[in-house]
Amino acid sequence: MMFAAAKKIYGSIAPALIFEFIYRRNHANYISYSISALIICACFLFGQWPRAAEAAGYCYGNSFFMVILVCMIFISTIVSTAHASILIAREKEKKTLTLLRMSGLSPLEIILSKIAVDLCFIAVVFLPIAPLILACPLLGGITYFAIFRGLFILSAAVIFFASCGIFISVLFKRNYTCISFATAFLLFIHFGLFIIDDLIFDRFTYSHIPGVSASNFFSAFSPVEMWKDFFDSINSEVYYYYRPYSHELTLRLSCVESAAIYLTAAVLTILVTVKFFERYLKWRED
Amino acid sequence: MIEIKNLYKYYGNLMAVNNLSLFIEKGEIFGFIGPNGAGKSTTIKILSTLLNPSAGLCKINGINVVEQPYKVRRILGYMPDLFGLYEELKVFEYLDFFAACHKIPYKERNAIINDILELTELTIKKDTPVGGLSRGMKQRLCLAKTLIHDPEVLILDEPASGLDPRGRVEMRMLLNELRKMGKTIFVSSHILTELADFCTSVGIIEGGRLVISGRIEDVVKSQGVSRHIKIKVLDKLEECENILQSMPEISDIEPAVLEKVFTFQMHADDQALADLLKHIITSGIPVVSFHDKGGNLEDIFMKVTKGQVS
Repeated sequence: MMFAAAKKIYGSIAPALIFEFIYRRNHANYISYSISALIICACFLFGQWPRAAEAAGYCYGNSFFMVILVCMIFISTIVSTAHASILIAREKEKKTLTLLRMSGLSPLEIILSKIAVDLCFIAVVFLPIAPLILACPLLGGITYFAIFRGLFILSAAVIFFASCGIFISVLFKRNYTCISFATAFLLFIHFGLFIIDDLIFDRFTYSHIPGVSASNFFSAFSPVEMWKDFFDSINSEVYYYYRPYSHELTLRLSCVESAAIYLTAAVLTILVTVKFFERYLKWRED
Repeated sequence: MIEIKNLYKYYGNLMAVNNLSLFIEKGEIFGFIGPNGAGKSTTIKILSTLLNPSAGLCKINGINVVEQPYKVRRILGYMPDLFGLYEELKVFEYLDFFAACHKIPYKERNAIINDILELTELTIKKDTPVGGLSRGMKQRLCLAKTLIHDPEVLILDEPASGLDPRGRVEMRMLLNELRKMGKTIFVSSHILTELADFCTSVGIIEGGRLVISGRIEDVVKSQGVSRHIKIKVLDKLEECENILQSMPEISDIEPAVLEKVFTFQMHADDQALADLLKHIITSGIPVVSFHDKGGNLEDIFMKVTKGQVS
């Protein structure tokens, strides 16, 4: 039964994958993106490389992994959202969305196909980096468990950003509008949630004045907090710059809890997008 | 096959479709005629499940287009007036993509695509990038895509717009071929001559309201519009002309002496036409061909419309 379901899902998303990765002949682009990602990671890693004397007896797999992961977070966050946000808008601009809607694919299949394309795109970009990540535990200071936990959290975040990108893509007609909104969304979810907390809990002066409220709620859902918690968990020497102060209301989520929330939010976003896809497009026609 | 009952569509305060009712039988080619802004494309979009009506009922093969749009899409082939193509794909790949979307099994796809390429005369362009095709070929490719899942009903919005005369003739031949295959075709156009040659029935829409509809002969009869007849004889041109001039139902006789052809208009039914042909032949005039071009849709259109838009 599981096999049949998997086969059905593959049957639904396969046309889009074949279209995007084979028929569109973007191979040169994909190779250049992958090489670029590898070069970015390599440059940062080069800066981290210890001198022979410093390296003696020091396990630097941990710091290497952190550098690579930070690069991956930056690239995947921006690329997955921006890329997803143009996938449907591109069809609208080319006037092919009508053909796609009439092609026998249901809205769920169209949305899942587009998300699959986005995720595969990210996977292709990161493919050359995989050996570097897998080599980190060999350098010591980090376990494979921690690495896979980090990659799981990254995957959850990427799925969430891809689903939000697709949602934005359904809403607007032009590529540049979608990219603008995707950028605004990323800024809001990363930093806007902190500002909301600042406004609600009057936190503008809390950071270095003891006794002033350091409450938070919305910022706990920011990817910044999620990654901070993850890096805290693999690096015990991190300094908690505001935790010691008195809290009126605090919400603290572990990185795995945040990832679970992001996955749930992604599923909800996909369901909402699917539910309103046809209705919204018909409404836009009106 | 296609049933529309009391269809209304408003865009804000603008009434685009006003109480439109139609019934189209299986195997018919229905020409939907109207000036720009008459409500043709709106009606077509509603039928194609791309737009919801404000009120009314639309059914294709008994399936309600509002309640079960995805079921309708499976039996429907829709070709929009303005469509985009994936220009970077090759013709075969383009059709293969849509065949895969329609869940046609991989093993069957090749044969189906080849058949459709042959039908649309695009076999020679199989490996050509879509972007490199001419306008006419792109229209045919879009029609090929529309046919890929063997739909029972075809809805074509201005399929020949922007085509050169040759492209139009090819499109007309293709539609005739599809009609022979038993497809029900709903085709819209504002180019009347294009529809007159292959439609079995027509509907004229103006200002969102269906002004007239029915089989072409019935429409012609009901509007009292003359039929355009062309007769070619071997010789005895003078005698033939005398016979034609002696009949009060016949008007606008145009003899072409060199081609030995007479074209004229006749206000008559099928029986009167048969009687005329019999009379000419029994008068000893050798008839090479006798062609009824039907009523002139242009005449009917001008007679029933007032130049309103919805």
